[in-house]
Amino acid sequence: MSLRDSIAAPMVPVRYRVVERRRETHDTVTLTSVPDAGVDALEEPRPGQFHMLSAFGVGEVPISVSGVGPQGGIEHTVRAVGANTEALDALSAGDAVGVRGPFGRGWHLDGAAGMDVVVLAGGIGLAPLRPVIQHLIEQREENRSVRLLVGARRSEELSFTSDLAAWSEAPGIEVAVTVDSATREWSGRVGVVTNLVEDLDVDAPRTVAFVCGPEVMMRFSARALIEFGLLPEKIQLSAERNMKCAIAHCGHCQYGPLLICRDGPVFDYPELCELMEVREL
Amino acid sequence: MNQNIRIEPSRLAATRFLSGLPEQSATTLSACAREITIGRGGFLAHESRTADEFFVIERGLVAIELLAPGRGPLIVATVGKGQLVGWSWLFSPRIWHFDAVALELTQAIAFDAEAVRQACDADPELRHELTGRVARAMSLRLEGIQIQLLDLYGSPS
Amino acid sequence: MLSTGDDITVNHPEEHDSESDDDPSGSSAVVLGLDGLAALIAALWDRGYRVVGPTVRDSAIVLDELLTADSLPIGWGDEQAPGHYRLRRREDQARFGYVVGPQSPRQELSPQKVALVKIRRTADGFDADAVDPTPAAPIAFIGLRGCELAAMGIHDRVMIGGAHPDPVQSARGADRFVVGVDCGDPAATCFCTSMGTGPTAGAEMGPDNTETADLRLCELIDDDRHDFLCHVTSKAGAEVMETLEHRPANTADHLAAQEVRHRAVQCIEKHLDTDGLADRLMAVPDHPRWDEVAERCLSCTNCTLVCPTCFCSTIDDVGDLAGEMTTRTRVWDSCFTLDHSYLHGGAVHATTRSQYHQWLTHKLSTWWDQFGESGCVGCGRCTTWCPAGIDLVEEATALSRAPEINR
Repeated sequence: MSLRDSIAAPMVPVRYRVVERRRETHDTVTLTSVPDAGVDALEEPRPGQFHMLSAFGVGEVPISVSGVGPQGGIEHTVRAVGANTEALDALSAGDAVGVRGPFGRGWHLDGAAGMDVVVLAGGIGLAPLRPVIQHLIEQREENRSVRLLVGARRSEELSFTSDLAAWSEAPGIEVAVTVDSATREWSGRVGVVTNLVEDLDVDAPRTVAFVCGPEVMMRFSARALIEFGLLPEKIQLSAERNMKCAIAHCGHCQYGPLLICRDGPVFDYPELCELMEVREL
Repeated sequence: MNQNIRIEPSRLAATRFLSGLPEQSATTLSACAREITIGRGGFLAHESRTADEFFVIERGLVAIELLAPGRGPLIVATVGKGQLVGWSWLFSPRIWHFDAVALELTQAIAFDAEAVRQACDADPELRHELTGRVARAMSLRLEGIQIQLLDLYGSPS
Repeated sequence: MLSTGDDITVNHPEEHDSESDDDPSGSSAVVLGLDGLAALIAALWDRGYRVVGPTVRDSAIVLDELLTADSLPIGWGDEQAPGHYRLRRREDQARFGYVVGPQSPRQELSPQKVALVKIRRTADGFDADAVDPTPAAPIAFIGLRGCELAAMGIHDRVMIGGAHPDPVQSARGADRFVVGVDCGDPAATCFCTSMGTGPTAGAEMGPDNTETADLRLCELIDDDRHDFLCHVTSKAGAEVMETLEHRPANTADHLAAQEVRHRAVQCIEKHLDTDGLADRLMAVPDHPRWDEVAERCLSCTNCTLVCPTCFCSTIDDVGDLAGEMTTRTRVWDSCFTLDHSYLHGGAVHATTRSQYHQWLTHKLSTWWDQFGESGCVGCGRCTTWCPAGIDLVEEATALSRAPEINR
């Protein structure tokens, strides 16, 4: 057998079918898709991994897995910000969607065993963290504090609101939400998500943190967590760069020495902290 | 604002804003302090009124907000447990620039600004402690507001 | 093709010459005349290869199908300097008297534009099928330089050495046959000796550069001779050589080849100090030299298009007019475009400064982190073909030094 026979076709999208479409906010939906009849399911994604999604005739985009349901259903939360994501946003239950993956190195959940956990999410950054919270609830450890800190632009732009309500009721978890601006209709906190850090009641040196959101917010969050007493190597961030192929061939997702699709998207803070200090890297 | 309970010096140092305050300073400051409890919707401060007090929150949540005609109250920040509300008392013309409204049942330590100013005049150590802490609170608030201004979660243009 | 590790022997049509000696690398050496070279090209076609090599077109040496040896750039040399490339007439009839042109093997192995997947609209949504990347014939490269062999290996390791081997590069590079040629007349832009890739086609390559030629030629020209010392370095090379007229190499042939190499090494004036270079470059993101070079750089992408190791591509789903068929297409891209680093709403590398920083540090520094080797082979193409004449060696050297402070 020659080399060429042994090589799969990594750029071919697999046909999944949207079975549910849930509106999160005015520009964000969560799609649940399952492998179409007669199609082999893709490998089950781990929390923090992503897929390349495409609607027919429009290009692909990398979208984090925001949940895994029964029967191999995968959830993706898509914010419509360009032609490709708008096409995904327009899909309805019953439509086909092209899926490749899963790709990347996800959250290192093993490192969280026996530790307190802080999950810190900004905006759509909650999507790739949702499987982490689901995992922490399913694999509940007694005597462990799990604290979810969520920042959003406005209360109307909060995703996963029913999840947030349910998680608040789950044993061992406390949820704090803050928004950047609000009217009196919002009775919760207003301010940056990093403000929530100093109120944490966790055993800081024995706490792991999972952080995802806009890069500036992650920089500030990591610093706040370290100031609070967390060890830098116990803070994980999910980084983002342009991505075209997801298989380390296209060069777009370079972040200095890193290829985000191959080496990430999840990194320990020490891997990123110097890179984040360099402008336009 | 109703109660008028004496505050023990140790209670000041138990708040985040005043944690680690030297005993002498805490004793001096506690003489200017009283406890207040405010129900949801109650005001700690009114924009444009004389700023003759400041507060350290012990429990609850306070909105720093402005009323915009036609838009209702717009909240720029909330202040919670252990944090400072009010620094207008430090600077002329000593009037509040924002409203401070309890968003839930809130308990706070209220300080008589004039008494604190006089205490500071007599005790440079206290002045030093207090100005440093207020400056840090202002810096944190400013940093937070600056990040909020960036609208990081907003739609990319 | 990689050597199988078997002993490589060539059955000489003539009696074994007592003067012949094989070179110490274990490959056997023979001498091929001009007719032998022509016969080699013909023999490769006969064996089913598509023969690709240097030829003159549009006032440059380009890579194209070589139907016969007559298409080689006979008597042509080139003149290269930062921002400067001219063909020149040589005084001899050398077949490989030029250095390198703007093209490199990567255009054959991973073409500028290649269809990867056909996606058809169906009642179910869509059907997607990979486009079969198998070429009609395996390729035989003629005349690759040491730097190009090294580049081909580096590019292969990016495209097929990872967890997701690229079917296109795998198929197009499979069963290839490579005729390497030692450089006898390097250009002013060459610095292969600094990068350990030349000037001979294989001899200097380090242990990581596993790409070798099947046959390695050294063109020998003087008043009395015009032929080629040919090292046979693979079984496939030996099989082809058996069908060609040749004679065993003797000491004089080897000495002549050594002289070619010696002259070439003497010619190369450019030197890049690679010791600690990767770390030095990444340590100075604020060096004022980045601003200076950004003043000159036009972000034209030329350097990335001529570079034999650059691999960036973009993926376009190209629809037909009826909206029934989409072709997922891979197209060469460049880190000097804004789209390259586009991240919802804007480019991460928004300025020429950050684009140049990305390019240079990737070649010389972060390639080591990503793939464990240098991304630069010292061919000098980026410097020659830069319309602003920006010289990679000069820039990397300046960035390695503390900035000069004007007072």
